[in-house]
Amino acid sequence: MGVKEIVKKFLGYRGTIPTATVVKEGRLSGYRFYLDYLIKDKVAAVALAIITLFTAWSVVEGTLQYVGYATRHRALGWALLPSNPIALNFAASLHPPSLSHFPVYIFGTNFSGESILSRLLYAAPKDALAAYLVVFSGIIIGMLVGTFAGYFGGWADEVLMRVTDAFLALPGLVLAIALSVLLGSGYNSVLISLILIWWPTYARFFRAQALSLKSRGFVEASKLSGQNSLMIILRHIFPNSVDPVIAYAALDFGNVILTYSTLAFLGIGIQPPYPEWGSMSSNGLPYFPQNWWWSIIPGLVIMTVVVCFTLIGDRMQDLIGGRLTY
Amino acid sequence: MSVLKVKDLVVEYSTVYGVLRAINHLSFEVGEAESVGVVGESGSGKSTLGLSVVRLLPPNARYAGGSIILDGQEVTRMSNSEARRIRGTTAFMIFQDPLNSLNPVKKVSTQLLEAVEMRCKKLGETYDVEKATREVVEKIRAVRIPDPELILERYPHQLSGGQIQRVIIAMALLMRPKLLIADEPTSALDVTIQAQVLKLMNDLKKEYGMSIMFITHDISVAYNISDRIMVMYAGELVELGSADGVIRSPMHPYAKALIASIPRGVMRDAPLEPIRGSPPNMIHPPSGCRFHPRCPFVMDVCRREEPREVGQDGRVVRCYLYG
Amino acid sequence: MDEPIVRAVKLRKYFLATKHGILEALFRRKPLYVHAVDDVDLEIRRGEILALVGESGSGKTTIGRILATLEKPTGGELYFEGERVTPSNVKQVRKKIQMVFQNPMESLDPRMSVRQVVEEPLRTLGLSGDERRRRVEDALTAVGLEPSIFNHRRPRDLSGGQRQRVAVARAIVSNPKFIVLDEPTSALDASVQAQVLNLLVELHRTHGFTYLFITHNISVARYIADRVAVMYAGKIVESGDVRSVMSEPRHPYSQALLKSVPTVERRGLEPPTGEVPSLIAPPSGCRFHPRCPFVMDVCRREEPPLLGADSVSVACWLYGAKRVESDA
Repeated sequence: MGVKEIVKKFLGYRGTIPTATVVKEGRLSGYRFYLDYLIKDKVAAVALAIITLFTAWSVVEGTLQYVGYATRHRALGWALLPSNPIALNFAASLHPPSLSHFPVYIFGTNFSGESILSRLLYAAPKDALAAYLVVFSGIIIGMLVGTFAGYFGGWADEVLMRVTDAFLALPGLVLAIALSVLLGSGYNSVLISLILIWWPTYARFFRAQALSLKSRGFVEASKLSGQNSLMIILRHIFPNSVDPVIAYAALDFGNVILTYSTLAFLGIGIQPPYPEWGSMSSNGLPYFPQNWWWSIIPGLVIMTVVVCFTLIGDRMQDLIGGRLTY
Repeated sequence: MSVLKVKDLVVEYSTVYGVLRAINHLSFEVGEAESVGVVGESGSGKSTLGLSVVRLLPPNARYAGGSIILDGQEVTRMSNSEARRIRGTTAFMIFQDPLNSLNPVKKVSTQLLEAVEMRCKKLGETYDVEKATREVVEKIRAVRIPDPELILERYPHQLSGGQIQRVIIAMALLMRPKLLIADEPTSALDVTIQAQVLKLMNDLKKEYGMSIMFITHDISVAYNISDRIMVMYAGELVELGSADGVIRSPMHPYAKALIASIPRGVMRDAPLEPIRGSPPNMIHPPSGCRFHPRCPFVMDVCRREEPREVGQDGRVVRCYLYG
Repeated sequence: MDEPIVRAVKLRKYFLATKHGILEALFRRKPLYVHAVDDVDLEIRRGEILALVGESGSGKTTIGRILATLEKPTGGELYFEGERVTPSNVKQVRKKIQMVFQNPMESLDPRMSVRQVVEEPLRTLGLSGDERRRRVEDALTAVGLEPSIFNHRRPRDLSGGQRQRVAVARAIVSNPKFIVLDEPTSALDASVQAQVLNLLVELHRTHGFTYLFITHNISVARYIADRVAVMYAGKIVESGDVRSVMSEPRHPYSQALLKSVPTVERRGLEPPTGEVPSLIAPPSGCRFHPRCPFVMDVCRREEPPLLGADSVSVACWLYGAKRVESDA
């Protein structure tokens, strides 16, 4: 296979089904179809596997950490890890990646002798929580604001959209920094600032959907049948707005992780000694390139997770946009 | 010497549902200065046929058999660069949606001049701006656009659907193709505008000696613009003949039913006879003759084996009723 | 026939041509209006099928929506069964009206099952669950869809013709008096179109619905209608008994329209010149005058009124101010 073919395969063929193919079996939407399709596409299947691993691990580890924190048995947090991620061990300081003591040193250690692998695994739930929480709040707030504005139009629309514009105009990083000064830099303030700036895009999405759905035949038929606006929104508008948003949201998880990691890189968010992927990367910079593993490996991990989310989101957008691939 | 000669063509799509055979062993010809109407409903493969002649099929489609000889050149095995050369100059394609046919950020005059430039490059002529401009104005007048100078200075979004289709036809005239393929060019237009465009195409065909392959789902439109009509069903040719012949005395049951389902006269005088059944599943088409589940004259052999094309005196039919 | 079931008097509907929100109001920009429907009088008798024929920009869809109470007219009055329709009683009036929309793919909620779609008009009528189920099954059977098979299917599993049948089932399930059909067969293949038309005719025969059938397809209008009204640029230019209007159109636009329709009976189309005018600044006097082969001076100055006898009415100065003689 030439380079062209390999790249084509990676990007996924774009093809079409000729119009009006009446197919009795096979669905055109719903979880099963997305799943079947993603699995058939090898690249997306790998991405899906990685994300599933990431999420599953985050849930398990996150629960352990929370239980450990609540019951004052912090050690629970690293029960499953190869080593204690915050235990200083200067004897093993700046140990390069090796297979000895597998798997503790597989990614090497940092200046304090903590295993990079353990720290990555320990920090994962924070990223996952940020991604899922921010995106879901964005969807919910955006859904309420956008649908209301789009469906009712008029003054409600104008006012709500100007408010949305105002929030959209806030520069995320600057806001996060400002909030961290107010509320104290920490995980919670980062989450709050991310939620505050993340919903306007979804509001626009939902508003566009509401606007286009509003004039569709079945909404008007509903009106003729005597349904009031609330029922129409609940029964028709909401369920039909969700599909395109799902595809975008899949992409968006990656965006949140990237922004979150950038903030951590800048020193906002989780504070030392607790690890965070972004801050690990920035802390390792002074030791680059001799002790490259400290800075590069967390960066690679961030990149992998983000790319996987993006790939899945991209494929789903293709599906929803009707550009089925081979 | 025919402009287009399609022999035993097979085109398949690979889809997530399986292989879809959109064109199944199709053969027909278009002669010089002749217009052939390709009539079929959705799923008949008519659009695929048009796209396959100019090599505009999507990436998941492939030529699985047969040949397409356009002006003496074999299209299916051409290289991409050769295909690019013949596209526009040997065969020009007009699409259904006028709004998507022109570049929205360029003026009409710019796009038409670009077309002339492209033609000169492909045919090895020298491009002279003044000469090209005169040609452009001449062709804009030929398509009967009122106030041609104004139209040239406009952007596509400032034109109506009918005007855009005329501009595209002007572009076609500028490229001087041997064959004009029109895929439902008037379906998105109002009745009176459609009539204007159809009349224009008829007149231009006579004036410029251009062959036309007119793809449509409306058999009345096909009748008004074609010398010969080819009826397609489920990717196959089911009947081919002169326009008058096919309309006045249709042979294939599908063609007959299609004509009988056109509303004519007032309800109480002539009740409609719809075609029973529904369009076929193209991933798993019916066995034997693809029309057999809906045919009022179905026989045993129709269910088992595909009928071959039977031809005589320029008339071709694919049906066991005729041999 | 006595009192017409639907009566529209001097209906007017103007749409804002461009957005006119806070900013525009602040800058005191004058709003531009599209005169979609201008001074239209219309009557539909009980049990009849009236076809509203026209091209894009004629206003036929807008009239359909106003008569279906989905749009509020900018001016004029609407009467349903003799009563004036106002914002206070519109909810009651709506219970007797239903609509079938053009695009079968868009008019059904893709996330609902067929049964849920057809059931929806019954939800506000206060019927029991069993009664609703029974009526849904009756409606589905009436449109030729076997309930046991189709109850739980989704619109995406259906063909265009089947979806349109579901839309028709939804329209008849609440036993309305008046059904507005907006291009119900335009998006369907020829063979399927015939099936749906037959169905509509059959339902009309057995249930006695009154139809307002909006279409741009003359042949379909001629086939299904009792009376036909031809619209151009927001006004009715000719109306009357379908046989009279179709075989001997009087208005120059009707004539041009009929000569533009491709048929299998004869070749040769004779289209009119020009294009549909802008509705933001429509032509003075008779709106068709820029394209009319018989244009006279008065046509440019004054709008001709719609005049006629029971059988046919025309809005054209060729027929003067005197009444048109009826045909029958």
